[in-house]
Amino acid sequence: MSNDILLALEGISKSFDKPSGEGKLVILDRLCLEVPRACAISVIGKSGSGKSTMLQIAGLLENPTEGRVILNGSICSSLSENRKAELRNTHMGFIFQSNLLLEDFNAIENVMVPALIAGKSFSRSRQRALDLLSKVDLKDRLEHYPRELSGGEKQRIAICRALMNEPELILADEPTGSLDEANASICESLLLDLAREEGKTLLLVTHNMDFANKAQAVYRLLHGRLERIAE
Amino acid sequence: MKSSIVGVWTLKRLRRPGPVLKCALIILLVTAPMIAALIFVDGMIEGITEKFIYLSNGHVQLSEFSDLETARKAAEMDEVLFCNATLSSYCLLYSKTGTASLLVKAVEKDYFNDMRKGQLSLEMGEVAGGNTIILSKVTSEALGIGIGDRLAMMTVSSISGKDVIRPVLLKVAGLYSSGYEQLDTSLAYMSYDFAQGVFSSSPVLEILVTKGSTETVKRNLESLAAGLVTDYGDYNRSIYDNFITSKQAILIIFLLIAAVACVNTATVASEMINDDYRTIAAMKILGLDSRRIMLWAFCTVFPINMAGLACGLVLGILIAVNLGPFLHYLGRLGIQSLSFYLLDFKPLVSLSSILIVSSTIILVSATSILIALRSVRKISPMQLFRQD
Repeated sequence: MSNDILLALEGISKSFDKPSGEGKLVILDRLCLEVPRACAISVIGKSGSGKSTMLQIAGLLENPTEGRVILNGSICSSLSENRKAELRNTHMGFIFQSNLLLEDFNAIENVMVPALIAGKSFSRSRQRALDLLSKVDLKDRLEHYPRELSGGEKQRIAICRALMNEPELILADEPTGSLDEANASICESLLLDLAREEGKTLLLVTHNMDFANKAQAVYRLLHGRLERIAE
Repeated sequence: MKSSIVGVWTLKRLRRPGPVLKCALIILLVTAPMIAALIFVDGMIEGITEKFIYLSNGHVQLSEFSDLETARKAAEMDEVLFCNATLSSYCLLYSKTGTASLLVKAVEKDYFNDMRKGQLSLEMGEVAGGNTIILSKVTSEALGIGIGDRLAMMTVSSISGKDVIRPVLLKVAGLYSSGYEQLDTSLAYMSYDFAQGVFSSSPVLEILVTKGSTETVKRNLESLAAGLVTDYGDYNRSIYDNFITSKQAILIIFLLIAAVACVNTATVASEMINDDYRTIAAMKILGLDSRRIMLWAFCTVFPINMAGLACGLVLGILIAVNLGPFLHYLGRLGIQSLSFYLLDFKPLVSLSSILIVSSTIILVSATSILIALRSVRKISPMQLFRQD
């Protein structure tokens, strides 16, 4: 595999037992994807097509039924949960539709959490979080808790948190799905600009075609497999 | 400086102490009365034992010796503080209005030394002569007599011996009160010289020794073959055994209660994990491993419990220190049942009891929490998405 490939999904299948007990529900069917470094790739598909499942498998959150996840040339899908957690912390940044901010932590602390998990110095982490929040125009919301912030603000904080540990790979699952048009547009631009500015690889899952088209390559997930539809 | 997510997260979580605080409160409420009761029981047992040692038996008793003066010489050693010859006999006392059955102890003039005076309040009248008796205030009230009044005494211990069967007339020379009614109702004192002509029993040397040297004195006397050597435990075996058994039973019951209270912490820890499962799952997504999440949960629950334990210990000691005077006051107010107990004793803070209670609470609490925290491993980040 080329050194230019940061993440590769090889023959990934995922199926669930049907609730009725009659057979299996196949979500992903021997799916393959190669994500080059410093590149933004988007995946579109209908609701229930398996986009989020694919992203969760790529993020080592879910185990595939078959196939392997390769990050930086190493097979990661068979690692222990603790080792996967460590890889998520150091190599990946996550952005979800429901931002998953921690309610007990204020804005700057939420951004700092990945660095604190990595055991980085508190003062340096705070400075980095401050820089990121300044870039997304939230310098005056540092001490605010998630319940005191709007949806757009929360999502901008989630973007900062994903970038906090300077991960190589950012996985974004419908990052603007719950935002109004204006906020969605701001967050789309921020995510793409920051990823480009910091040289990050972005794997984006969305059903918003306009947003998807801003990536360097666009894939459609259909019947459990990916097909490239734009470059 | 390296930062710790566990520390930061613990401080954040402690802003919502809720059930954790409730749990600590339960531990406090269990520990405080438990420690108070243990200190109270320890103090009371020690107090009662001291009353019996100083006023009734001595630390060591030497009996069945051949000659009193030789026995006294044998007891002359550095550890011995006081050595007094005594005679004892169970007697019936008769006044005009009442009777009493008790042990009359005949003692020498110097018997009531400062150590013994510290164990009782003694009120002496101006009554001359050897045929006198010192009664407890309780007995004098039962007989309806006071200082200077007369009473008749009959020995009942050995009819076949030298005991005088006919009544002996005695004058009440003084009244004492030891503060422990059971001792007061069963003991009176009279003159050793006078009793020699009345009691048939052989003299016993009652020896008071320096602290912690009972065994040494006992061994030395035994090695000298000076007579039959016994200590308080041998002399009052049943009372001594009862005290020890009561103390152990109380301790076991308290430990069981403490264990049940600590197991409650497992429930609280489980509740906390359930309440915070979204945060835990999010932390897992962000890369925090289960071991550190468990450490966080432990650090959140355990120190608060330990704070509850510490407060309980302090509160328990405070209650115990002030419980004696309070119960004494209640006893004086007329709660009859309390007057039978020794209430004016020094609370004895037994380090061993406190250590046993504390270590049990720490051990059971920590184990219960750790068992409950195993559920952290079962929380999957995927639960967040499945719920969404």
